[in-house]
Amino acid sequence: MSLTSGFRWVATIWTLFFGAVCVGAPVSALFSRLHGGTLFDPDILSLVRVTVTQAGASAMIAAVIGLPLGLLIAAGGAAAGARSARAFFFNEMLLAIPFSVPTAVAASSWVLILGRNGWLARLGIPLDWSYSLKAVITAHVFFNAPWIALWVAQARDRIPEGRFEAALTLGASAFSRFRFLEWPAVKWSFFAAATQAFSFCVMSFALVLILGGGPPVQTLETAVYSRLRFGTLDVGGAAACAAWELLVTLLPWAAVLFFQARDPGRGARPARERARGVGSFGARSWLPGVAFFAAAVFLLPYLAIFPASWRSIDIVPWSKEVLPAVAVSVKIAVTSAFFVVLTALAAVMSLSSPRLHPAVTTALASLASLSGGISALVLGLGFWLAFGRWVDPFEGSFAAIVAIQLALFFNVAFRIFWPLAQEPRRNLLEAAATLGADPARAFFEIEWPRWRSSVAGAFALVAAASIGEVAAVSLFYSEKLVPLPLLIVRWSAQYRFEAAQSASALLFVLSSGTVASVFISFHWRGARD
Amino acid sequence: MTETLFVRGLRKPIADWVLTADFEVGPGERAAILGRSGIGKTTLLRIIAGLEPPGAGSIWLGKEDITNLPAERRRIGFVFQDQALFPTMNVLENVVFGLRMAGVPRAEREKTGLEWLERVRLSKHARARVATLSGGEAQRVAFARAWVMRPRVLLLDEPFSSLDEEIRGELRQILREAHAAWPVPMLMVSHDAKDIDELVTVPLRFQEEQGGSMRSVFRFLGESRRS
Amino acid sequence: MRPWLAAVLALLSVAGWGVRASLASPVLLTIYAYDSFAAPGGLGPEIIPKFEKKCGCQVRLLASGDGSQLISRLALDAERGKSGAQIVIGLDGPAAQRARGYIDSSVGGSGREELAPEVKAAGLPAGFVPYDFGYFAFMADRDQLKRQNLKLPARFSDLLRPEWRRNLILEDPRTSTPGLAFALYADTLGADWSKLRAQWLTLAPGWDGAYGLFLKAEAPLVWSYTTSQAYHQEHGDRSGRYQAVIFEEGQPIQVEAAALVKNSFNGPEGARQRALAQSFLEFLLSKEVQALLPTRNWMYPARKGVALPASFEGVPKPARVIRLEADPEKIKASLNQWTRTVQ
Repeated sequence: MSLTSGFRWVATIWTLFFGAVCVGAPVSALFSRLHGGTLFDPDILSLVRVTVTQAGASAMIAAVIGLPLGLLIAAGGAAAGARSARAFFFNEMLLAIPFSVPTAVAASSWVLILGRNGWLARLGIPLDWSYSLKAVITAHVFFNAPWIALWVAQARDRIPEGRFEAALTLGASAFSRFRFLEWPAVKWSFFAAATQAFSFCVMSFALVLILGGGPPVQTLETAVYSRLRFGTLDVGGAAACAAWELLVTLLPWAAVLFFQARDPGRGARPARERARGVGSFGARSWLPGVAFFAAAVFLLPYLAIFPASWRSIDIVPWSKEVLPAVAVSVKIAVTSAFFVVLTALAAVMSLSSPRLHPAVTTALASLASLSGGISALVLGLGFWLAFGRWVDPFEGSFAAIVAIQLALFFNVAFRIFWPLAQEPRRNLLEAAATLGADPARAFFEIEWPRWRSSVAGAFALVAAASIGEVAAVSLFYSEKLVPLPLLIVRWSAQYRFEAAQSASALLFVLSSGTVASVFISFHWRGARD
Repeated sequence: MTETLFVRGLRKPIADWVLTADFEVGPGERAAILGRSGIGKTTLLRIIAGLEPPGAGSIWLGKEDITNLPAERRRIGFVFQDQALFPTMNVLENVVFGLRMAGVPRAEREKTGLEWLERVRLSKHARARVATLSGGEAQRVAFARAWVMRPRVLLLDEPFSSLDEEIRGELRQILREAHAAWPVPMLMVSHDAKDIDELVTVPLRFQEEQGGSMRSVFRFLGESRRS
Repeated sequence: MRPWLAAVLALLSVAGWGVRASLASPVLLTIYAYDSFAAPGGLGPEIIPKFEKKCGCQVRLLASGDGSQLISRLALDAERGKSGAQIVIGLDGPAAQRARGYIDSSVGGSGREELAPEVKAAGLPAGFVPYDFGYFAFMADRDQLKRQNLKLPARFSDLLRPEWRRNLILEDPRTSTPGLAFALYADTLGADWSKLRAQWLTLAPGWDGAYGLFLKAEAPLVWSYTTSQAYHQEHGDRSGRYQAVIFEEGQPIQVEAAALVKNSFNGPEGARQRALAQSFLEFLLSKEVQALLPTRNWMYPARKGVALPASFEGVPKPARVIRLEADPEKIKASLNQWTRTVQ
């Protein structure tokens, strides 16, 4: 019996609608301008090479750090015994916050730390690489390593402690425990997160432009930027760069899904049953503390912005200019996050139809993260080309901003929900049916408690990222629709750098506060589940 | 109130088998299904419960044809092999879930739920998380959860398979008492001869079809009616 | 079903906001403006209400980034055959050359009597009405110069000396107007980019990024405008820490202009709109508006004889004014050359 076929139809229609309007139409409008020649233009090919090198190096280093960090965080949570759930969720929160750091804040912070007049330099450690590829990679690693660690930690947390105890009684060394217990349980989360980190680095552009020190450190994304922002609006060239970006970001993710589908062990996900109050590794009392510090390290750089903004706190027109901008930001963030979560849930639901062949599911799931490989700039132009005849995006469009952010952040939520949908508790839903629960009620009573914290987490991450997002916003704002990141850009253009700095600090507080408050309210309470 | 369960002309292909069944279980009767793994015992229970469509044939409760009734409207109690307790709810919440779905007010359903927990000797665990229960305790919660909504039929899928002998004895006792108090048709999948000897009353006929020849897979289990 | 229904309704209402917003106000005159013109504290919010009062009409500002983005808008508008605005404001020399095709060239241009001689000499294409100008120059941070024991460079060629290695903050010529001006300036002076590329600390994506780094004391020199000095004077820099640097070779001039958008007066009110739009261009050149320019845009007024604030008096005037290449094809070629050299 198909418990949810009605829902699934609605979900499928919604997903197709989103795909067509927010991604399909803009992208095909743009790609219709693509000429074969530009695609293999040697200049663009060399950009592809540089981009893949930069993003590959960044993602690789982030992965090498993120994997042990994630295992450490999870082990630290387990070792905290009775306090394990809280300790774990608190560390998870610390790992989630860097994802939401607005690029304006990140760029500013890194300059304050790594710059020639930065903290390190003043401490007597001058860096001759403060504006180079190394600086870009450093910033990217700090951004991505916690993201990978978060995914690894969550996957590691699903391994029942009993298995570790069993392994210990069988004389397994730490390495054997990693090889036979942890690695099989975390590897697909790890690969998925690493490919996503790779995409983030391909898409990154403000950090590359500011910290890279100019050519030759440039990427496809900065090339898109210069082709659209300057010269004779080179739509063909931008489309060629965008096509390469899509290809480069989509391939690794498709590969992960392909190999994961062929892995016989992938379905073996035990239910969450952390040994609470037992603390099998409780003997190592230093673990929780170390885990906490390891998670916190990745937040430290961004704190640099606070002392710098404290000085100018009184020159900021808080109530006159900042407050209205915050209101606009919050409105955009909440709406975007709502639709992102809704759409990702719909997509996950329609893709987990049992009637689909596994290969088709894999293909569609790879396609679902297509939008993660398109830059806001490209989407914005695509929107214009596709819909400019009917609506005027230059008049400032809340709907267009939300639609672009929907496309930008959709795949973040999708990737959070996808593993959950892969392990549905069908037996529980059936048990609920035999007890008289109709499909909708069975879903909300049985499935929803399991999804709740992930949905809240995805909502928080997207809302936080949306608060700091400036590309989509700067394409479709109007005087009545000026959110905080844009206000900061505007102030900088008017020499009001100090006020901009203070507003950036507020932006950081807002975005990290969004993540923190949702994590705390949901996980703290949900920890009893 | 209690009606006979009729399974009429059921034919359901499972992998390379065809499961056929045609039998009835009367009120207060206890029947068992035997057979080796993968033969469709669980499938038969699931078809009766409405969790899977029958290939051909019909299911009746008394004079009502329930073949096309959705599972949630059949009121057929099901004790799953892995219990399928809801991990996000405590013991009492699990037990009264069916009453909640039926719209029974909170105070009343908790009272009933506690009575049943008393009967399965788990009252002191009412607020415990289900993950903390032992195997036998979890099984008793599953019994109580299925019984508490006064089902029209009770189906049990290998309810004792993973428990030790002492606990099995205890659970059989609980089951007998409960069945005496609420004598509906009861159908159990089991491997254990003890279950069969004590419970079985109804002859069942199951056949597999292979290469056109029919042969009996399940043995007939005597015809004495005890209850 | 209800949550889904709610979601659909919510989406429809969101879409509805967009539609309603575009229907709500009957606008007579729309202006494409660069962002800081339209931003609070910029020139726009100050002069638009005055103009509206004068003309009895309604003016709407649509802001977007800088001059390059304005041209993108014009290009996209031309493509869809429907212009969203009647006036565009904030195009400089090279931008004006590129935008020529989208501009109504029948309106009076840069030869007007009341304009300052520098502006007249800049020779904008027909149809563009200049309203302000400035000189690109390096701004120096004297505290940093002192710390590094450096003397102000006197000539552009001094920048190639080893002591200026990684001591300049520039803007990327591909994404920024001042950045492009620097590249063309360097080309005009015959600079060797293969040597120059070792001298910059970073190429910021825009002027604001570069200037922000400069104020964080990342490097003692940043490519900006001579009038940046006036800004610091006006905002409490008594010691003269921030100073414009004038090179013997001369400084490039930037003239900013406004223009009427071609084929944008089609509606039933087209003729009235056109008259209003022309009067707005006149209004930009009025003494009233021109007097505001120095402290709003931090640029010189295009009209001659307008009194300047005291902070502008200390700003050095360039020894020679350099007119930069404005031909889009030549600019493109030299940018390509630049990319190949610095790559």
